Amino acid sequence: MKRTNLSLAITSILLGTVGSSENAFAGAFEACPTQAFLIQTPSSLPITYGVDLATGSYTTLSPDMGTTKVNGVGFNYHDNYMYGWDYGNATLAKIGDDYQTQALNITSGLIGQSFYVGDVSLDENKWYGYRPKQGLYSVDLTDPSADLTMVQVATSDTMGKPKITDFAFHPTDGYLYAVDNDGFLLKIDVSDGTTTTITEVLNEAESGFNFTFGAQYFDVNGNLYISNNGNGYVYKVDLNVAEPEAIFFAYGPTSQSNDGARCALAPVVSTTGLDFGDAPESYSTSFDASGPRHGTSSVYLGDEIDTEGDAYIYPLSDDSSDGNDDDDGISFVTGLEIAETALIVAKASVANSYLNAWIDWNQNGTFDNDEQILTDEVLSTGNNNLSFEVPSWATAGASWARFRVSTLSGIGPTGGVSDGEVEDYPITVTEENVTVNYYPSSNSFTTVAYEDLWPLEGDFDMNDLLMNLRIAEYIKNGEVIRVEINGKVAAVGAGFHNGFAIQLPDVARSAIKESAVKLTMNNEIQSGTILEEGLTNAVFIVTEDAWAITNPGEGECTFFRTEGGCGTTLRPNWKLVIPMQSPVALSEFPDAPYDPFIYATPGYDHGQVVTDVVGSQPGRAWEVHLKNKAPTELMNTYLLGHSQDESDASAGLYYLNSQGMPWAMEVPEDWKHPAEKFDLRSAYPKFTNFATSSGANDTDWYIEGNAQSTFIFQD
Amino acid sequence: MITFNTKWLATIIMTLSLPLIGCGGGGGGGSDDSSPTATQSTPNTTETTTEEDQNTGSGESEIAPEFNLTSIQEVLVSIDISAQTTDKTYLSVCHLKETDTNVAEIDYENCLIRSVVEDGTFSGSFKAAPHFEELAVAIWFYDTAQDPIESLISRADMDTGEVLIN
Repeated sequence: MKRTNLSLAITSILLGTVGSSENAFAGAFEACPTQAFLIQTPSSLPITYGVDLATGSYTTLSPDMGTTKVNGVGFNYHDNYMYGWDYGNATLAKIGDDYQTQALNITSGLIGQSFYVGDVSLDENKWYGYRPKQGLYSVDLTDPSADLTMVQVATSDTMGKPKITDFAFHPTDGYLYAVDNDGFLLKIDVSDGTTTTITEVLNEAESGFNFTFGAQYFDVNGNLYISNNGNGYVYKVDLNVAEPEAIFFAYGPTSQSNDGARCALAPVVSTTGLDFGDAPESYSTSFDASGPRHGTSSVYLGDEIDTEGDAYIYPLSDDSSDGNDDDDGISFVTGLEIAETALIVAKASVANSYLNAWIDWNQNGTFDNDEQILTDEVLSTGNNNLSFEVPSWATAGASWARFRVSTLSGIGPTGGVSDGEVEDYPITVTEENVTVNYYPSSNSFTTVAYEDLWPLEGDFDMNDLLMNLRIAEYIKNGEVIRVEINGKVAAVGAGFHNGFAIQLPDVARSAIKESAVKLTMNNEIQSGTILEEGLTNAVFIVTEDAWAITNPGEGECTFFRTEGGCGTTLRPNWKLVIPMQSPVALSEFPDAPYDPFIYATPGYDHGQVVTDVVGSQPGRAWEVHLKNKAPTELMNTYLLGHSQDESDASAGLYYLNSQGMPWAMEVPEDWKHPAEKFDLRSAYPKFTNFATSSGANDTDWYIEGNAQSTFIFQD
Repeated sequence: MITFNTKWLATIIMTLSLPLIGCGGGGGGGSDDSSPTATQSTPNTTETTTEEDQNTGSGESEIAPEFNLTSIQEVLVSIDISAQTTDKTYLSVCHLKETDTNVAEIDYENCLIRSVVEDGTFSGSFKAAPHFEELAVAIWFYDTAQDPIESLISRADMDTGEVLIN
């Protein structure tokens, strides 16, 4: 032990000498840098790290600060140097951009003592330090090269003997703040040392580990970041709210000796080059919500990883909007059936990474502690077959899963990590032994397209309303127990106002469990009548007016996604869940996509001919269905066969003209529809051959490769 | 996991020579004599059409009145692996996706059927759109050490309307 101490002392003296000579020329830091400085002394030499608070990732800025230990460090906004207590020289030191200490000459005060709590005021150009049992002291830094005086501000007793290991100046209010080692937020008035306990922001017993918040920093927005020595966890405390609490923020470095300094006038920003999740914000996905984020590295799931400045939250996920789905590492190779085993395949880029995962089984919009399905699964490079149990208390229906891979073990569903990837997945939990039939598939859409001048012919650009549909039928014991329909408004090129509804032909209204029917529009649950009353068949109103959920594009745009220069990848989305009161045999259930139709929005006229026949504001008296789909009972049949319409109900023929052309049609993909006023038959020349051959030829007439590219709408 | 070599089918180029009936202009139909009027404010102007700007198709061809303008193929799926196992397994009929290394893998996010298989047998169906070129079938055992049964469904298979895996 003695030999070690001697060795350290000699090293200290030598390094101190070298450091001092170099420090004479050390420059200031850049003005108010955004990164945080973390000074640790893991063994015998203080090391300076630069910490990206966004991810907790850090880099070594200096392996040796030229003394034995440095603590109580603060960034001085007035001269852009750091100041902290130099244990080797037992005095305050100035630290420049070479990270070497330059001992200052303090001529009075607590000379020869040590401080591990300190920061520099933004208002006064003074360093403040706190020493347990002694109190709060200040040193004026107006001229650091002069002889300096240490002034006692308050005794430790006056301050209530706070158990703090760092504190930080607020960017605007002039007070010092600290979270003590019991998890309480303290506010310190530096004029007299008055210390106020604001509230408990973190509970040690609930957290399950001891608190020593050795590094504390502010950002310009008044958020206090506190780093726990023992595990490196970084928490964020928003002081702008009435009841501040510590929200987990990032996984940072651990140390026995920890101190932090940061320019409090700099924001903590999400840097580019981070990977975020894309689940809804209730799962804490964005940077502001301390969502999961990973610094990029060679550690990821699947074949791809992308980066962004912040999360693209569902339904605006960049996986769909930019055509690059980097959520490709997890395959759900079995269903997620309640109280049954489930299998996934996780594809890892490197070996010895850890996979943690959660599924929101109870659909409460958060990943709870008891919803972790995989804990620190060590992955091999390539595919890893993994299993877990779906709990008996899981709720059937749509929910979300979150998978995180990193070289760091023990990570939770939120917070920043220096490496790895997060992948969020929409998932569906089903009852036991359920078959799910998807149309057209679980990840694609079909399109229904309408012309709305019926019974007059329109321009056949088939874009007065286009709706994307995806249907899932849940089947148990050969009977349909539930139907889920996801939809998106693909285009509205109509001057009229049209509602959109779906009929289940030959499915009695009474077969539907009306109380459990649920419609969400842009993820907001809709109230009002969804299952239409007074009809024999089940008819579901999605929207009474497509224009009520859509807007024309900006500028000269009149319509939504039909005119050149009026594109957007943002489409209003909806979801309809239809549980059956009386399950219907699959063999008797109508074929997807059932009978989607448009009708006149109540309160609006629908053209002179319609007014002449059925009166103004026809509402449901005017409907347009797919060719040869019968209208509902609410349709005014006087319109059938009127004007250019050649419907013949006795022959089962509906909504066709004399050439057999329809007013509505289904195209089994997310269709690139004709632009405004471009006839379908010009935009897709092969349609005519397909149609006149009754589907014998050119069955894929609708694919983009068969389009006249200048005639179709482009975003 | 077994992966497939890329087998994307070459696009079948069909030379079509069906005569068009009644070719001529004006396929879009008549002018709009029903200028829509709204009793409440509308967010946009009226859609109007003129002979000049309709860019109509190549002709007013006759389409059979009873033809509903869809050509979706219903495909029956019959599974019988009872000779291998009667334990519970899990079936997926899905699209394929191409990986960065140019192999095709089953895309479990893009499926047509997902179902438990009990006693080694299953029967069901899916609807194949004309542009579907190739699909894949996977049957997973609940024993993670066991490789799944995997098979491809070609367009020709779909056109027969029936797929049998045993």
